[in-house]
Amino acid sequence: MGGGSSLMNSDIAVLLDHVWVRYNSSVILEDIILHVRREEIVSIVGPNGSGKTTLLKTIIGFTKPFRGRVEVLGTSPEKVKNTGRIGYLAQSSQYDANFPVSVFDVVAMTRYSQKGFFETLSGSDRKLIDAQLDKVEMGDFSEQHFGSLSGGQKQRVLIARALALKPEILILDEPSTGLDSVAQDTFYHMLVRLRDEEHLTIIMVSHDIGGVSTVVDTVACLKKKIHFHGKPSECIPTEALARVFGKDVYFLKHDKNCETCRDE
Amino acid sequence: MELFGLSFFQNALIMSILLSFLFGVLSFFIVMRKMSFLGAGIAHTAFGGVALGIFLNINPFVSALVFCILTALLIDRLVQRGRISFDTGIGIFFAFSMALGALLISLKKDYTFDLMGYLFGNILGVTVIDTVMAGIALILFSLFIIIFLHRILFMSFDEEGAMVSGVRTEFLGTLLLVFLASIIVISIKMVGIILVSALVVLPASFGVLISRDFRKVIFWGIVYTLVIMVGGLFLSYYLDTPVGATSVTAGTLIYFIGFLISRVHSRA
Repeated sequence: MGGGSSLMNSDIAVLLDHVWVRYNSSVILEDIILHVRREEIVSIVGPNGSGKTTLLKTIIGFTKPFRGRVEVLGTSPEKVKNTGRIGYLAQSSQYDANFPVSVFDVVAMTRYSQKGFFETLSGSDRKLIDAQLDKVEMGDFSEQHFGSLSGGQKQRVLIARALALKPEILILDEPSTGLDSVAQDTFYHMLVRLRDEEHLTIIMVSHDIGGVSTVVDTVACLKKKIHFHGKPSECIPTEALARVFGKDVYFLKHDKNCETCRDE
Repeated sequence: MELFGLSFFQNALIMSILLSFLFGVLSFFIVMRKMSFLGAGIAHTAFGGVALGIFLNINPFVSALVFCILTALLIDRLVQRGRISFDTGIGIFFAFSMALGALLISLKKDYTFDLMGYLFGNILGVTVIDTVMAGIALILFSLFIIIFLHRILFMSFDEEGAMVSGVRTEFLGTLLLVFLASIIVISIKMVGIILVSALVVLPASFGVLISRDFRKVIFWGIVYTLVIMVGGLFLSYYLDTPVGATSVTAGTLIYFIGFLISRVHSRA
């Protein structure tokens, strides 16, 4: 877990080696080099339009680089894409609040995706689904309409849905959007607990880094290129700022002073 | 009732029932996937397909079926590749097919074309063959839904999440489009090009007013479509009005009444 062990290949969950991605004719990602160790929590930070979502989609295999090599769990993203070894949560705004499904239905989706054509959920499937909901402290909400939940609760349910496939990597796009700072804190600590209990590698994206920096192992600052990837503490430019602004210095730093996040 | 002795009425009644099941279920997935506009687009594309068949002296049903399926798949591919946006793609083909249809029919000067019938439906035109086609479509579509219900539900809710979880989203999405195009073409004689898009949108929209459970939404979508299709058929017979127009007008009124009731209900 981010310890001092040597960089052995089996220790690496995701590897991007000089990766270039373009959309239509414009280059979105430029010469990306990124190593994510197993059971590491990485936060990718950067302003809007810096290529964060594209980076996630490249790791998942939705977007193909035109140059460079991507390796996920020791193989290519294409081979991992349809296996459920990666759990992916899109930005929460992508989920239709009126979609007529209960919390249980949502988690059941991944179970059904592994079933044969005429199979239905078995008793053990139902138990497994309930257990995933308990893991994210949503066990009491099983019968509720998914759309009626708060943003943070929805995220938890979607994580439970991913967990039902026993993934090795969890990828989250802006999971903190719409959460107040208390809810964010609780959410991040739940991620840490899940990482430890489920042996997950967690890669998430956010446009701020306020609460994230207290729980993540590493931060990658992205704006077309990876400008920095290391422990959050290394990113602090001056200790003076920290003394003046306390914990919020991370936010300030990434918003104003970080080379990556600074507007041109 | 003497009505039932009339063979065209029997055909129309059987057709209404079959179409109610088809659209009751289809509507759910199309509305949830936000593809209602594609339904309208494909329906209008059918006009070009029908005219093409008349112009080339081939069966207009076959030409419309092929034309609509190909257009639906073409729009889908262009959108998937990020070449054009969804509504631009539909907007272009929509207008092009109508124009092409009008052009081809005007070139075929000796042909008397029942334009109103194609636009608004004509139950006199519904034959036994049409009902057999609808029956086959219902069997195939039911099989498709029974086998893939939960996978299609998953990808309708979250396409990327479904893909990551091993759902063959591209394959299922393509099949759903083929069904959408085929069901629309099959229904055109009965309800017409203009009004078929209402059958794509209304059933699920009504179902959502009643329940937040997808099983019940689909069930009420079917019940609703049965009421407006079969009710509309009898009403149109007694009022001597076009059946598609009658069904859709009644259906929209029922939808708005349901909408108002659900609003009052949720406030109480």
